[in-house]
Amino acid sequence: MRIINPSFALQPQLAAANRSDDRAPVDWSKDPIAIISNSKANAQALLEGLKGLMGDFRPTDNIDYLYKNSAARPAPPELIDQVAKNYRGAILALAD
Amino acid sequence: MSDPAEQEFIDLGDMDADAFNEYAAEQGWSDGFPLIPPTEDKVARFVETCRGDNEPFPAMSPRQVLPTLPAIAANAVMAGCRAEYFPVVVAAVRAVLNPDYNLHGTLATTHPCAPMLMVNGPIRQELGINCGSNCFGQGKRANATIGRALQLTLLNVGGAKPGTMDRSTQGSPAKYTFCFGENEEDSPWAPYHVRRGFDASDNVITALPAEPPHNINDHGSTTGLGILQTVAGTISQTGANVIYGKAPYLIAFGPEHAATLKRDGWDVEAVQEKLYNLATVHVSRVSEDNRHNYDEREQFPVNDLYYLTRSPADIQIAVAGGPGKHSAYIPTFGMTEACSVRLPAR
Repeated sequence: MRIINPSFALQPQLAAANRSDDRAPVDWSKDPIAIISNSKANAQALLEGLKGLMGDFRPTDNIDYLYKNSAARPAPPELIDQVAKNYRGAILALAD
Repeated sequence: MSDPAEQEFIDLGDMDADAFNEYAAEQGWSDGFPLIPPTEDKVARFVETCRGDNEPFPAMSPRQVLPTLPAIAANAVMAGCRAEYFPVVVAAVRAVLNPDYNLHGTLATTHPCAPMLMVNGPIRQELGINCGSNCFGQGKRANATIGRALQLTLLNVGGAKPGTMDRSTQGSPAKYTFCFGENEEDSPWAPYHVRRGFDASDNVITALPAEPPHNINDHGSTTGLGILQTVAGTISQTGANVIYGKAPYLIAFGPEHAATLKRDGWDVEAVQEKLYNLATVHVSRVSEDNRHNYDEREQFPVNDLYYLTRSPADIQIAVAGGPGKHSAYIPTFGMTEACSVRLPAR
């Protein structure tokens, strides 16, 4: 039996072009990272608490708090661009 | 067998239907019900029904990949569709890919919404889509499989896997399938799609990310106003997403309730206006914490009342179902719009 793959899809050209990344892996002990809230209640408290705990083992002056304006909408492209340009990693809080 | 993630065709050898279902479950392709194997020849028959439909699809969330007609057809085959249903499935995919629908938000949310599909036009009768008694329930292949085909497409092409990218806290039965037709024949008003600017002869599918229908029982009211008071009372709740006042919701009047409204002189605009003003939530019913929560989202009470839509026009009115004194309230995800797509002329 030969079937059509129900998960098959085409990659958007842009995404495919950006897929190769030969940079070194993220060093969570020192690289700049973004902590990003989905804007729901408690998300900021959770992330700031996490940032405080990370202070035990890494600098925190390059950990920045970012947020999107609506929990019900995807992150806007500008926010994603900002994270991609300025940070090596991101931690998201989907805090309900 | 090789990793199927990137290849369009998969050779499964001598696998029978039972073994295919085990294999499909392992791939994460299943909604839990048995699936029909999407063989190459069956998929080709489905795709043939959309010959000439060359409009490209935008990227589908959350995977952000571009769907192909054969992959959507594979999901329609697996769902149990007949080939002639496939143009409706494709129109449904296009409807949820309208940016106003907010597919990413509705798939990734913890809310239990599912894509509600309402069909208008002659194709309802041609395909046997149930618009009458038990139209939200079991019993008709078209209702069951068209909605299921869209759900499987969102699962497999879109990547909305429960527990990973589909983060719904509890989900809902509507996530298996949620498709019905408007009962245009028993409606006292112009059909829903005509009120949205389409021709009566157009075949139109409307998608709305929604909770399952909430029943509105009113056997007692003998006037249109009485029925609207009961409908408003059912809507005026504190725990639905419509409390944020940012999106449409749908009222599917049973034909008997609709007939009473019409008899008493209520047209659709008057019904919308009345429900807009009557279906509100008094601040005294809202917890203090939630009042702050709504303030932060710029949903402020007016004269101590929370209004549940932006305007009367947000309230979508349709007629569905058969005999009986019941109607349905269908709340939405919020942050969305009702998105209608006309099927290509055949």
